[in-house]
Amino acid sequence: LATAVAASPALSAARLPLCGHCGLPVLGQPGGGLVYCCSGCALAHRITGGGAGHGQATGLLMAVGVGAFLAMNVMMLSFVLYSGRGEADRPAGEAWVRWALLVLATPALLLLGAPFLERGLRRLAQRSLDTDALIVLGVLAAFAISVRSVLAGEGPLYLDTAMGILLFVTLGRYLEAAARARATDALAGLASRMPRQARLVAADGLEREVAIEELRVGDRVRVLPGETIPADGVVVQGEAAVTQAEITGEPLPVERRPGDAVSACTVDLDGSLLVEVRRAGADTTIARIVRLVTEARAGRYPLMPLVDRVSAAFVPVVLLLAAATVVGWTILAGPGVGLMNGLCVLLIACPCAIGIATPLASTAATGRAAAAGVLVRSGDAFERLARSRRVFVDKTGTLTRGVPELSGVEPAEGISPDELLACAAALESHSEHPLARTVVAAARARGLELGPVEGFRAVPGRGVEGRVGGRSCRAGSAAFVGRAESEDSAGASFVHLAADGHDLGRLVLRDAPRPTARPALDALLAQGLQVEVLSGDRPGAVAAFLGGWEGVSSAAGLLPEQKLERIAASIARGEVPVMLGDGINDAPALSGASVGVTLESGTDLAREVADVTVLGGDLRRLPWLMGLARATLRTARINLFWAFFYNVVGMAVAVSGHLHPLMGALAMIASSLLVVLHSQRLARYPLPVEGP
Amino acid sequence: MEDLWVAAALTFAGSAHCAGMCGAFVVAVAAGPPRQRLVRAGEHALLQIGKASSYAFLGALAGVLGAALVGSPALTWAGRVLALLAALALGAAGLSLLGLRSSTGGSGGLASLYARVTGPLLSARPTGFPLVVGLVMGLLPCPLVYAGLAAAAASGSAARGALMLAGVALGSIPALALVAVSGALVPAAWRRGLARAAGVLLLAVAALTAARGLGRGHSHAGHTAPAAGSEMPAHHHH
Repeated sequence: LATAVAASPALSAARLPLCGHCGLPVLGQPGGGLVYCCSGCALAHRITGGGAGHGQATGLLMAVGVGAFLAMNVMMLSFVLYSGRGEADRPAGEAWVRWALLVLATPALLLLGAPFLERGLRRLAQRSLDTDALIVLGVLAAFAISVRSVLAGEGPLYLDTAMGILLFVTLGRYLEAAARARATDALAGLASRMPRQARLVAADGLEREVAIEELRVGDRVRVLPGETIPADGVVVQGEAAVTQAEITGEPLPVERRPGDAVSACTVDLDGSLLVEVRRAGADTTIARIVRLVTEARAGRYPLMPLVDRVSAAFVPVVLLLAAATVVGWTILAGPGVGLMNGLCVLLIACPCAIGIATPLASTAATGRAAAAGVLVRSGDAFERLARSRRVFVDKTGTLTRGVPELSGVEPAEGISPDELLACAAALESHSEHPLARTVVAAARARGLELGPVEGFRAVPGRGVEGRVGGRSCRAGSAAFVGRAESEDSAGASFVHLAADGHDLGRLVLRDAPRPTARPALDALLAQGLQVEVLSGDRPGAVAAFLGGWEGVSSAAGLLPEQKLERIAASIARGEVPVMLGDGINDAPALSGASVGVTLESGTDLAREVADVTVLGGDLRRLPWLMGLARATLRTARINLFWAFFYNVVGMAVAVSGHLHPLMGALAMIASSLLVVLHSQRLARYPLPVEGP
Repeated sequence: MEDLWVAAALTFAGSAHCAGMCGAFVVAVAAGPPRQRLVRAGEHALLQIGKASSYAFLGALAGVLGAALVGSPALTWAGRVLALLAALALGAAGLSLLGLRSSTGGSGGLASLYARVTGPLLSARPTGFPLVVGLVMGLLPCPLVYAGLAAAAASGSAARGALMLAGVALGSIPALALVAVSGALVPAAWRRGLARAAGVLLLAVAALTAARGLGRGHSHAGHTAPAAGSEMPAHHHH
């Protein structure tokens, strides 16, 4: 496990701190106390009361609310000031209005700006010039110019610009944080599925109950029908069918005999087993999965969001331009004018819509996805989905239904299929075996009459027997009915049937593929994505399932950590892998992938660690979601273009020393409005076509 | 100031709608532990101030936008277009009051945002909470506000826009005060009847606005007559 994680530079690169609200890793300084990935999360965490007291939570909400109230009034009065007279930069005669604006704006700056100022100044100090730095530069420059104008009794006011930036960015961050559902801890739930006690068999044959923590390698434990196996080990006595459905999603139970390995957390269905412990406690497969998930989550390397990448390129240019403006105007008209024009460049550089360009797009997309039955847990998942070129897919329970189906009735000569099925169903109707339920359901679906059974008896790990219609019948393994062991099953299970020692034929049961699996993967391939099936199943079964499918590669017989290794290697290659899976054994890979996608039918753990849950099990939703994600990224890009467009024009004006407050206001309104309207387009993104 | 009174009068006519929609907030604020009459009055005042602030802000915004369009000499057709759009917005408001036009229901993200902000405040009731609740209430999608914003944009002035929307806030106060005093929502049957009357009135105003818009070109279309980009309603949804 340690080598699996260490093998990938991406996963071992950093033990990044996790956001205190959404639990995503945070790029930045690890340190004491809670950290947040954004001020929206910090806000939401406190408001929704995580950690903080209720009073404090509503206190913060009030602070933002009052800040918004003040900011809206400042903007409203500023707009009125512009429309009152053509020249907003001339002292309006009403000095008190200007003072009033400053008095309203100062507390709003403190209330709304504090989180950004704190983070942004820290970023500036770290010379990390991202979006927060741009926001802080813009707001402080606008405020500085306005304070000077009020004190001097002349000059332009840019308080509405400062307020607009703060208001919109706060709204955007809040939208982002609100979209991120808080993860509930299913890891704890997984631990609770483990039995607490084990039945230890001493050397003298006496049995006693012990806590599973006391189990040591070499101990022998007794497992009775219906019980969960408490440790990884090897069967030394007894036969039973064991189901791993909880862990791998594999619905077909496997027969276990002396010498066969069994895993902790799998369930003994029908026989009494004596198991010798090979790995106990923290070394069991299930404990390793829990640890892998925890580590993969902490090691998930966050992708720098689009808006920050744009800012990182933009801010240095802005700073250089501002510096050049200061120098140029100082030479032309003295240091006072130079400084003012430099500040103007900084203030107009920060687009008001910068804070809402991405969140509005992803909020609209989240709503659209939900309408299609796809729950997306965080808005930034869209960006990662859109950039992904590789999809890893689990087989069992994901590409297959995860429930056994009767796929074939193969009667012996002279026997009708219905006769075979009716006899098998009559016997199996007395059994609790998962395969038995499938056989009975299939018989009922065909309207077959199930005769009475006398002298029913279940033989653990082998089959059932009893008298049906006066004949002594057996249903179960080939050996049980006295037939030679059949050929390789390639993912199928067989129920053989015999009456009075005569072969009646066999039933074939299979974990059938989901009908939507093939169209879904073909659609992904058509989108130019690489698709690779990662399966814990035997190579033969995987090959039989794929059957020479063009374009789909596969890897079989993988342990949970080996699935994670594949993902880690993909990330190390600079890819943005998507993992689609449903089992507990997929959880490490789901947590390590850039985007984890699971199904509604998936295990609790898979649903918890995944970013996306597809309701209803229609796999074609995944290619649809990839399309929506690309449309979302496109929308966010165009949004950012419009957000910056007006401000770049404004910067040119500011360099020339002719920036007018109305210009700032119009840039703010126009870009925000365009961003809002453009994002709405995603709400009309076509829903997936329904159908078989 | 005429802007303010005309908008207030029109809203008052249509305020049966307010009693239903915003009335829920008023009832929520009025609930809670028993307290002095003066305190309760203060709370309702804060609620109205918060709502009026949001309205006035949106009105000023619409005014600035309208000014940018109408004020430009290159866009002499803008006034005519705005007046026609305003007529459409008013007509839509009228139809929705008549119940002939169903709402789109708003976006999920926005609804959850509102709930997340107002929910904790209404349950914890910190000092001054009605101000913030009012602020959010003022951003709710509302056909009367759309009509007001249409008028604000057509006026081409932030000051007039702010006044018009302040008028909308003012016009809704009597109905909401009635809800606050009675402590309950006005019976739905009454509201339906009153809303129908208001719907007919708004449709008449819409027809008038359209006629004026066509007749007068870009000159401003009178106080009751509005215009708004269809943007304003859409903006409102966010």
